[in-house]
Amino acid sequence: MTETVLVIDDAADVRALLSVALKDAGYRVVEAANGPDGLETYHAHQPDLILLDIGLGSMDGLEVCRQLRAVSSAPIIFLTSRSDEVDQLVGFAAGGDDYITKPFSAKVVVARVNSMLRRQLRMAPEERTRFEVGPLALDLESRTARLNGEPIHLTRTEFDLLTCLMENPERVCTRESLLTRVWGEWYGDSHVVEVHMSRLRNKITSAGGPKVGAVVRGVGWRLGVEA
Amino acid sequence: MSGGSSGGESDAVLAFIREQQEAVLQRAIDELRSCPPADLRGVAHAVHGTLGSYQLDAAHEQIVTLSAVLADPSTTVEAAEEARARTVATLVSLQPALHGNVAS
Repeated sequence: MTETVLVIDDAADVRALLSVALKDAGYRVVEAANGPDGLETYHAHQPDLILLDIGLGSMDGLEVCRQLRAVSSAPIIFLTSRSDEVDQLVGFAAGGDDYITKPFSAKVVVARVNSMLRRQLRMAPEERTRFEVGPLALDLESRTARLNGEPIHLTRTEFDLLTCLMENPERVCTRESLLTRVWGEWYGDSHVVEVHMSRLRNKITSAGGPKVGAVVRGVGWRLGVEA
Repeated sequence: MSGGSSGGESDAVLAFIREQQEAVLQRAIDELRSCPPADLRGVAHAVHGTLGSYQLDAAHEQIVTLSAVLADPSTTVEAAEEARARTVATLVSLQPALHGNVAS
């Protein structure tokens, strides 16, 4: 089945370029020029992935993301053209899975979309579907995370990172292994791992949980939580 | 003007980019030329991403320079308008090289 990508951007030229590139790669594309239309288009077409510009008009991309996250687990990739917007993304748990800076290469955008949509296959559990370590529990089938029995809301990326860490709490996960496992073919800054690991850690500690993602200097990360 | 490197884009994407470059640059010029002073920074921000994504590298560099001037707190309104005029003039000078541009 052809997967559908929703492009929400107020720049018509940007939407047109992305549409051509994604259609050329075999995707079905639906477009919206602002936040409210984007939400409406989401509900009408139920896309598999959303490319979302941050700098929209009256309803900015972060607010659109929050509203989408309330109803959808589809991957969201932010489009941003300013470094301060990237900072905002890093510091704000808006629920996006990735970001691409403008100007962009259409080829890279397509590669990121491919990679994000293939993640679910790579993340599919071979046998185990539940992991419990200390106060943390993951259910891969329902994609729910719990801390002391209480659900905690993680983005898709955070959930996948935590899954890698919890599968074998004693194993050290290298940056390369996490990039491959969680992001697939990655063309961006490899520090994306630190960014999302930090967000995951903050989210769990803010909920009263342990500090996950212990740094093993020069090697990578391990879960860092006692069973 | 060079429209920029192909960046390994597919033939279809590259053809689309080449076909659209002239119109994209014209729209950027129109927007920069006509926007009120208060909107200039936002317009520069918006066209920055578009011009670069369409591989209009020389034009994109001009917008980066303009944005730097506009972001400088010491820039006066007059200096901002001068920077706008310089940028628009340079972008206009880049147009002839794109005239009739088609994918090879």
